[in-house]
Amino acid sequence: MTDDITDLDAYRGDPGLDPEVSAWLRVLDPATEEPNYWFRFRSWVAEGAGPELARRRLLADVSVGDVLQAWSRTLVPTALAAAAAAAFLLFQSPATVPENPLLVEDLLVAELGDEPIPAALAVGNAVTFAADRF
Amino acid sequence: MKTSEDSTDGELVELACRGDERAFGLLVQRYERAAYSVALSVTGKHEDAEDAAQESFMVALERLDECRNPDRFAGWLMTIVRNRSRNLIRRLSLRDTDQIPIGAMSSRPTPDRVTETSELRGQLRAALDQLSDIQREIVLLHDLEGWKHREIAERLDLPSGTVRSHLHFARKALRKALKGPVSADI
Repeated sequence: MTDDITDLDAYRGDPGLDPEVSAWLRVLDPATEEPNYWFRFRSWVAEGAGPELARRRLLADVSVGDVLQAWSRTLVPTALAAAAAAAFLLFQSPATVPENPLLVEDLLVAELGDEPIPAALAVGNAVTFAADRF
Repeated sequence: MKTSEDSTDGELVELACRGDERAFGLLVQRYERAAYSVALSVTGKHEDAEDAAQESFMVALERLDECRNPDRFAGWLMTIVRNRSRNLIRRLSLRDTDQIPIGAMSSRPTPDRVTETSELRGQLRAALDQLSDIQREIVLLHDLEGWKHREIAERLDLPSGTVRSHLHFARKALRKALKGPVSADI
């Protein structure tokens, strides 16, 4: 490549490598003075990238199925236990309410003679809220 | 999918996303020189270009999931390199550090060679400084890293004619600046 290049050449075909300019620029390549420069560069990058690559490997090993399975291990037994407890309470609650229980509201507003509340309870009367009864 | 040197960028990116060390290593190997050249075209200094290029690979790995078109990884990476380099320059300019010539390496070549090379580096640096950012980047990628102009156009997302034009004018400017003082046998 010499000075006879016209500006129009810039728009035609592949310019190819310019040996002269290429030779000048070659001194900018660090490997010209340190042959193992790029090996050192690569080693440095690889060392720095290690933790991030390890993190990515770990994430790649955990699939969506694994995540769902891990959730289900906790979630399913908890949900089953909660459902069982709810069912138990639902079916047991009506039976535990006595026929004529003492109402808390009555205990609070009605006179009980001279009996303190514990004495009234000691008789064996069940105590419940009026709202639960009606 | 297995990792090999023939794998496409897209395949390597996909594997690297899952933590494949070899795939990421191949991506680094494939683009380390280009990343360095782009960084050098922005920073103008070897040490800064090295830092920016290395940091860019780290950033690229952390954000690999954001690479929407893995087959165009190179262009995406070069954008990161350019941004990191500019940020580095901004940080350094705030610190007002002393200028270190391009290519201050750790090895110890002969004194004559050092003088000759550092002289050429100084001239090259002055000549490259006269180019626009994009001209500098294109001439380094083409005539230093050996990328074809079509590859540059595709990877930097530029029209092919624009790449050819920038390359032509960059070479012309470099030749004008360096033709006299630089010996032909370098």
